Amino acid sequence: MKKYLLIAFGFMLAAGSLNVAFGQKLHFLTEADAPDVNVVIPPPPENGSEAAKRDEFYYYEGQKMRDTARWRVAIYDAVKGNNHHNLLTSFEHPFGLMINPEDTPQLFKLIRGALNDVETYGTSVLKKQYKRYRPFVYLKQSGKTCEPQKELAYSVTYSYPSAHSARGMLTALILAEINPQRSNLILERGYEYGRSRVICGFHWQSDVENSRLLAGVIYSALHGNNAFLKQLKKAKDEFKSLYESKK
Amino acid sequence: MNRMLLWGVTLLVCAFGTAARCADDKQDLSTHYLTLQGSPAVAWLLPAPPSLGSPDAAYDEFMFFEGQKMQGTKRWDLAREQATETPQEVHQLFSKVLGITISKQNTPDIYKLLMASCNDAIKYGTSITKRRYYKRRPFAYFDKHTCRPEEEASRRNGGSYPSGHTAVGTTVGLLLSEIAPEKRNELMSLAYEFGQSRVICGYHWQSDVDNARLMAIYFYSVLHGNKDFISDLAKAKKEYNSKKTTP
Repeated sequence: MKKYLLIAFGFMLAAGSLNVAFGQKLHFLTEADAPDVNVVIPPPPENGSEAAKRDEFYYYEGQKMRDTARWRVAIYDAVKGNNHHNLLTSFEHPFGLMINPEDTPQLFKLIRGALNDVETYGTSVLKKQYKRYRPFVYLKQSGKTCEPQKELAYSVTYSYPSAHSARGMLTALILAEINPQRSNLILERGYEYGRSRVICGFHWQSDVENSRLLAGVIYSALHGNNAFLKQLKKAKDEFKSLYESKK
Repeated sequence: MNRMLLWGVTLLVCAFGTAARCADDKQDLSTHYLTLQGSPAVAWLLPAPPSLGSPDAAYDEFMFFEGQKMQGTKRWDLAREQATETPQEVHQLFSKVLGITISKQNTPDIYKLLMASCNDAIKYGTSITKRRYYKRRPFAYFDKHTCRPEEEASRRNGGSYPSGHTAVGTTVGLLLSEIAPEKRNELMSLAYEFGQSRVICGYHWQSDVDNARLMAIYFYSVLHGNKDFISDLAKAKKEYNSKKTTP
């Protein structure tokens, strides 16, 4: 009996660490303490409205940047990678550490859980609610995005709001709190990560703007959540020991 | 209450030597957590506002005229009510949603937290950014009247981008949401409407209000990296929990 218990326990430990590594189900928020995003986040512009015309203007401004250095950054930002690799790597200079599961497990876990939360309780809810079409679909601009090979897959997912942008801004808000001395570069990176989506043609300007608002709301909700606060303390301690030693 | 009468009473009170109260108010407006050096450089982080008359200003112009159309409606009256001129008036609005009276006397810890945080957002945020762009407000640009005409003279010359009121409303909404998470949806809705009232009123362009929300979120994040803020936040939470009537 004891042997089986030990094996079961060992399996649970392994599953637990797998959970952190792949992070599919790591969450801090629950249904109970998640905000009602349908109440606090405004709806997207209606088709043909003045706000929608503004969105179109920004789409064509993005297209003007085709093949520039900024376009190439947008391509990099578009790629998710394993464990949000490209997003977290882009914070290396702004934040001052490379965040990944091996080198910074606590920081990674903090971000991982928060990003799952902003999707599950934020972007996924709103996308399902509004079912807005992406710009390259609505404007019949196939082949014009920064990743044409991804357009087929993206054409059946919804535009409002932008999950990339919400993740980028939320990561920035958390990292700025942990390293406020570098808040300028951190916040700018978070902002630009969202702008990349507009440049790419995968999102409307209003998708990205309201994602930033969503990130702020979820950030606020996380600070009322004990599991998040516990992990935040671990992450801050890890940051102190790693960052101070590398300064 | 008639504004002239209110000013008259205030002056009288000051003149007759309860100078302590006036000094108090002045002192309350100069409490801070952050310093210039520790604040996010939002004058440079926020995007430039749309240039007057440019294509991306079209939506701003549209929203101004949408606001003007609302004259005589209930929403116009609400916009006027929300065109507050003192911190105490802002606290009054949010008190109705929070369910307890926010004031220096009744909730000293919450009051202190709100004042110093808003002082940071205004002095190191909106004021500096307004001085960078010195953008004309919509009512002055179009030579129309606002929902609170008595305030127009002092605001005719610039300082539209971004909106100080919106920065304050968003900051208060986020802070109170963290203190009273069960009221988050209503608090953030009020904060949102509070910002929209500036557009309806004619004092701000929509882009002034949108970017003030973003700015407030940036400050909110950096404040969480400040020890005194964190300690005052804990006190404010305690104070709310001891005073709230519903369990």
